[in-house]
Amino acid sequence: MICALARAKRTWVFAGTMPLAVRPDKTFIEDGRVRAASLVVDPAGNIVARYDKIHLFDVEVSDTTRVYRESSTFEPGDQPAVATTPFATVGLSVCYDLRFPKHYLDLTKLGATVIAVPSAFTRPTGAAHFEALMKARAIENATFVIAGCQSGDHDSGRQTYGHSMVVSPWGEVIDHLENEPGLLTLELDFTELETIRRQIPAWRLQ
Amino acid sequence: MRDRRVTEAGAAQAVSKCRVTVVQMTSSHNVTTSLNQLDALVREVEPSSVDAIFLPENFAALASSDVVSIG
Repeated sequence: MICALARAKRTWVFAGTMPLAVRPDKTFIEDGRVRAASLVVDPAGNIVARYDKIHLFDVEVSDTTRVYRESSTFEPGDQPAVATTPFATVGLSVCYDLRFPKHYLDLTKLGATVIAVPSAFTRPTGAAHFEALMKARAIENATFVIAGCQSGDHDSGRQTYGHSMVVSPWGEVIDHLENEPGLLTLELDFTELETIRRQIPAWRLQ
Repeated sequence: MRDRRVTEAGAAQAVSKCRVTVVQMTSSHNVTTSLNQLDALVREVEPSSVDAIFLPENFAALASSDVVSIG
């Protein structure tokens, strides 16, 4: 479906995450777990990059679910990945990765100027931390950070925070959604990124 | 829009601007329901109107009890 979407819209698709029972090296995960794989599809419908979520959400949260143990279902990935596109080198990350600054530094060292963070933040953690974490990663690395999010009351009983957003390399929220499903369409201006990277080269000295 | 630029990281920055669409959804544990929602949301995106579409985590199913079958 995602490859068909890319072909139909003639665009790149950064496909959030999908559970895959096969590792990038084609070996099968024998213990019944899967990997949370973030696939990148080019406009011709070819899968051209894959990142498997490294940091799994094993936490306790004060919400209706209370205890999350992603590691019981998912095997962690083990290496960062970027997708080289005609418009930018895009670093790949997923949700809970956002709390691990080194992952973003690794992506920046691989040339990323845009970083994708497909997310499903819980309401308590999202309300308290999501925007601050997005801004921090953008500022530290002088990159655009883009998060498409889950939002609302899910039929599984989960409740997610929403607030999909795009943050500039200066740390400003360029635009965001609130709690409802929807689309956010906007322009990224790389001349702004070049200026910020030249003026404040801290991202290069981490 | 397609002039090549070089960042201080040394990587080629292919364009000076690009246009992206970000999708926010309320995925179901049912794959068909989730993909139908995604299809409805992106229907308004005209072909070639954006450089990239960014989907959320677990777009095809959230908290499904049968994750292997999704992929």
